[in-house]
Amino acid sequence: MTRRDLLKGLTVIAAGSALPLPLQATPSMKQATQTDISRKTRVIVCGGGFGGLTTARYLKANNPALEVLLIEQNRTFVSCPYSNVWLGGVDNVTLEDLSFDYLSASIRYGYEIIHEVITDIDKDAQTVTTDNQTYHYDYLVLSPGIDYDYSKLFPNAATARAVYTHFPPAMKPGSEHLRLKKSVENFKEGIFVITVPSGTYRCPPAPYERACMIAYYFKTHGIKGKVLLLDPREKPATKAKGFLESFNTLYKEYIEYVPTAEIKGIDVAKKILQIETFNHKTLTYTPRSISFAYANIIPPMKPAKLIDIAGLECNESGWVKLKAPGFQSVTHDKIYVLGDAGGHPFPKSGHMANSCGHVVAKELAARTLGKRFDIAAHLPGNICYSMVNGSPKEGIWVSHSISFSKKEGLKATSESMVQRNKQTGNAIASWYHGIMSDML
Amino acid sequence: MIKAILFLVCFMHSMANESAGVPTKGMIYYKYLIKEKVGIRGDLFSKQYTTKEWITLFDNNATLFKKQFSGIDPQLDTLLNSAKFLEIMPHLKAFVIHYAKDKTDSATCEEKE
Repeated sequence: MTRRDLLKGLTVIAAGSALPLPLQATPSMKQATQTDISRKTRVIVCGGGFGGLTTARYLKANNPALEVLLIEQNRTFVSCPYSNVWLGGVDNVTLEDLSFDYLSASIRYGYEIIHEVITDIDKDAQTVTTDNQTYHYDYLVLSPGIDYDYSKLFPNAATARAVYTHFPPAMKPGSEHLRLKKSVENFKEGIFVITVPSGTYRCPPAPYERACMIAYYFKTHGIKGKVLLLDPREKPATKAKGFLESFNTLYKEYIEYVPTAEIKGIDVAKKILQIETFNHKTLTYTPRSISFAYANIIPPMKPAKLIDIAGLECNESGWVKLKAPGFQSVTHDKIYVLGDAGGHPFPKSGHMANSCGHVVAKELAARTLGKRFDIAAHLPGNICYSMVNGSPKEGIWVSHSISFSKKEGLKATSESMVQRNKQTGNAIASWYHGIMSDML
Repeated sequence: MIKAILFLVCFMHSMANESAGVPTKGMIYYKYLIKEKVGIRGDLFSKQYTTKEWITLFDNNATLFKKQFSGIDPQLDTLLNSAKFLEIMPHLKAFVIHYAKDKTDSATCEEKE
């Protein structure tokens, strides 16, 4: 899939979603219980993020005879993508622009949604148990996202809890984002630390875009603050040239990028962070102590707990092992996993989860209809925009296309525009509204 | 006394973490201390062996690792037998294991611009 295909797809998505769709009756809650015997094939989708919402909608679109039940514990959908633009106070984006109800989408697209917490998955009995009841499935789609792995940063659990409470990562939408937004708005002066996680993590450009947007807020509100961006890498994990150019030209007084920074400890009460950075002269890591006014500590990540509950095998990097090029778990043929928890070498982004949702929906719908589906000919793709300036609005982007061969397996290749420009800045809002209307 | 015990526990804990090694640190050490001497990029270097093979190479203070990579470059030979190597060894091991042949992650993700 090329970037052009991706953009074309989004245009179609946006146009299609503008058409009025007939309301469809949803099955009643009672029909979903284990005790009832349904003649319909039932697919349970766990997780109402980008991957789960897309899969639920397009399963019904590709095979209307399916009974699709989406289980999501939150009652409101809040988007992570585009939230940095809101943090920066750019383009008059409000929290309402990021928030959606689940029920309207469920009615519009004809699947059922329940807001319950999953406590058990029995792969042999093909049941999902929640805090309310047990549901039988014929096929299970898991799109649970990520959990934070503080143990790699702060082995002491009490320290980890204190760090989460006072300096939340804001990589899971809702409450954490609200706290971060308030912290930016109430910031008076001093150092505002943002840490970039090591390893594979959700939305690789997010910490760098966030640094730009917070710096933009400081700059435009006369706040004497400086963003200290601590990265264990030597350069940003993605769109490196574009971000570094933005840091050095747009925000020279507002952002200090610190590469090769390893976190060694934190004093939450005193707001002091101990780090080490690589000294190129002595060729060794040297300690540094940072006194900060506020910090956005983003720890390493792992698949959400639901993967443990389901007892699915993970690869050596900790993500769910899948049967390439498809999305079936190697542990169980009737369980599909997509989104950030998946172990394919795809970037963990909202767009990628949405794109994988389309593929899973097509493949699974075809399977339930007894048809063949060549998944290698329908591989997903990704495009990821980052806003780096608010006035004028300027952005950069990277896209990924996925290929598959028996010899090399799945492979992601990228293309990017790292020279910030207004065209990309303006495209970000269109992308966001397009992808939202594809899911909600 | 309690403070001393707590300090000792924390110190031992941090030493235990340090001995586990940090992949990102190992990657940086590889780049600045080893890469030029072996002439292989970090992503290709780590993909030479599987996790199990790297573990074997690093057993007993990296006896087999030293044997495998000695004789390539005199400076590398000096490094392999120095105290510096003992310092970087856990991180180097963590790095190559993190990105080993049997892992899906790759050490670099260069983007076309």
